[in-house]
Amino acid sequence: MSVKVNIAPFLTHLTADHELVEVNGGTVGQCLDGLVEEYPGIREWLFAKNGKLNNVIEIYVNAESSYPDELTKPVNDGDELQIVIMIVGG
Amino acid sequence: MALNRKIAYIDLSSGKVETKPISMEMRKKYLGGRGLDAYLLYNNTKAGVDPLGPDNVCLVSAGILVGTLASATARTHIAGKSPLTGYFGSTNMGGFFAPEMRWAGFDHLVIRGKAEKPVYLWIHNGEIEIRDAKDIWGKGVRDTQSIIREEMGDREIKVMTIGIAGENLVRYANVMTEIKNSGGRTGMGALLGSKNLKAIAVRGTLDIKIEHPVEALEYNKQIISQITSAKVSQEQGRLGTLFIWGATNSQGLVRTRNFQLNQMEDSDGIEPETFEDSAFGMTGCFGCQVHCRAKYIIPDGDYKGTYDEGPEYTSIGAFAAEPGCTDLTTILTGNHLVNDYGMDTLEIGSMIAWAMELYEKGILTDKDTDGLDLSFGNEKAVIEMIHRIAHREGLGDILAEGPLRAAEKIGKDSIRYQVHVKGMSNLHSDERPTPALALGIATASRGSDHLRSRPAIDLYHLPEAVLRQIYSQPVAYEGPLTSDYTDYEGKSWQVFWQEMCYMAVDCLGICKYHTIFLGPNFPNFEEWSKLLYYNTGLELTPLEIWTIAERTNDLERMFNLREGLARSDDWLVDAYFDEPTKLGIPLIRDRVIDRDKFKQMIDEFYAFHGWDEQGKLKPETLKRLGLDKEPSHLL
Repeated sequence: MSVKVNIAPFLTHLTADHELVEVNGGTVGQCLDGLVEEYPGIREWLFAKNGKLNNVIEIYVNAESSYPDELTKPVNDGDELQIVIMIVGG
Repeated sequence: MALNRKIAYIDLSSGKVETKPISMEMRKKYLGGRGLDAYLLYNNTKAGVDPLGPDNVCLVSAGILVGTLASATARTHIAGKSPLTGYFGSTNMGGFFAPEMRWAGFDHLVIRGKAEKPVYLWIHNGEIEIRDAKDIWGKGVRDTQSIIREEMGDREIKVMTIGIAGENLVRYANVMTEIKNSGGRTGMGALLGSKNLKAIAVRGTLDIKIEHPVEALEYNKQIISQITSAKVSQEQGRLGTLFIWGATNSQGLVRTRNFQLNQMEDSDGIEPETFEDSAFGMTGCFGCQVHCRAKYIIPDGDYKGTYDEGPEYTSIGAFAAEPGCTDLTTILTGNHLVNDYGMDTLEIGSMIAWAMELYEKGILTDKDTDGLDLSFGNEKAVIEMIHRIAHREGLGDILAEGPLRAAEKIGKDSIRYQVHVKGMSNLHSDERPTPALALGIATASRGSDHLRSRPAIDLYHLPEAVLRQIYSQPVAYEGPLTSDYTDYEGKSWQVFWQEMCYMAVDCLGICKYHTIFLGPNFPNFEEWSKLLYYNTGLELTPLEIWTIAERTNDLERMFNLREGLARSDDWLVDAYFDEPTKLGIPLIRDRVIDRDKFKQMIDEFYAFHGWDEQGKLKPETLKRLGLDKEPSHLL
């Protein structure tokens, strides 16, 4: 499956300034693995040390949250992923 | 029914207490909580009233849904003219006090005058007594509550109280309830202290009749599922607001060393995961399923073994990033002390960091500090200054006055290093890279603040389709929206929309963590309309709730205008425009707020409100919102 990943502006310095990266994979996890393979620097933002998605990161698939499936959520050809970061509070 | 709760007028000078019903007409115009408080404040004070004088009023209220079957309806609102800013004073806290006040028969208290000697109020099932407070005056927040409960022989009594800081009229003293539920910001604790009012104790067993109980329960199940199934809620329920620290600091969005930097380096020791070693579970407020409050024991130092709750994300800013400290014990101890003294963690952290910068620059010397080394990073000095401010000792007496008065007393260009809006210190976030957040703090009715209009989700990088869905209802909006948080386009609408959103929940009495403050799919005007109907029988459309929010926001604005507020007060300190950020990821570095674009944002924000270029309500706006006859004295 060919999937587009919409890179958040705060991460584009890790993707050679690309805002949209095309990757292949059948699940969100496989797509992110592809992204990390191409741009290894993005790993520490996306993943915790235990290999799970970072606790402040959510991945949206076609404008809908992939939580709770997250990395195992299937994706289809032409889907668009978006990296969302939950930094809020006070 | 939920709408038959009364309003009580309490004159502490004369000892007279009078109760009145709240008419349906007023409910439909202002709902309750912060909304009706705006009306009561505007109608019960005169321009220029001394904030610490007997003619200022202290308003205590519950939102209209508090204590019903709707989730997270725990919020108590306290209002008055602010001793800190001289403008609209307002604060909002969770816990269990407001539901108990409603079960005791009251929705709003209007407290004026000044008691001859310290007193507290005892409210129970429709009755209000003024009681001698000699046994609790001088006591901390927790002891005060324990003594009252013990004296009355009822552990279910709920108490809101001031600590020693409120008694000493620290201008940013809190009103507190339970261990750490804090009515911080704008110094409402000093307002109670000025009236010799130590506490309000309530106990109620009067049922609130739910209008459509089956539907209310069923619908609330949906709401609970909507909230608890979200990742953001589950993370909040694991560590509280601390969980965002790492990502925020890594980007460079944290005000550090009094705005000299925008990122805290060497912060490994205060990462949330480190805190997990001292924490042992979470707790929450009335009717909430998120449970965002950590329970902890101080691991080391003078207060080793002491139990407390929190700390919030803001306390990392107050006791670590701002003063440049790196020891978790300082954060946990500082949080404990401000909870028990009853002081605003955010304000005191900013004031201490400001004093540290003045010390660094030689504006304050050892003579001014009585020999205390106020260098950045001196952990012990931070704890010592908390004590001195609460007791108003030495330099602490000056810092207790808040940003503007303290700067005036110290002089020597010290005002240049203050980071405030309308005389209230900024949160420890750095808004130079985030124009929407900057606009929010510049225009908030109670001074610099992140809980009045901050589009917090602007930082999420949400798909634009999601933003469009949120920000296009209940009022149509077809202007620009972008998920880039460094952009200026469309942000003024987001701030305006969030201002209506937060006002609405403050009128309803719902916690903001159950709204779009936290999650893009969380309840919104549509859900609130249904919750209101099922629980109270009051039929209001989402758009009508929006209009109530507009009305009440504008009434707060009218109060501020009456007190002399001008467009120039809706502005940021020069550092936001002139001193670029130095650290963080490439997107964040070298950022300032663009003056011209910011002016344009304010113009747009005013236009959305129906205000003129000076920020005053246009005649047609006054008429549209039914504010043209205020003060109307209908209550």
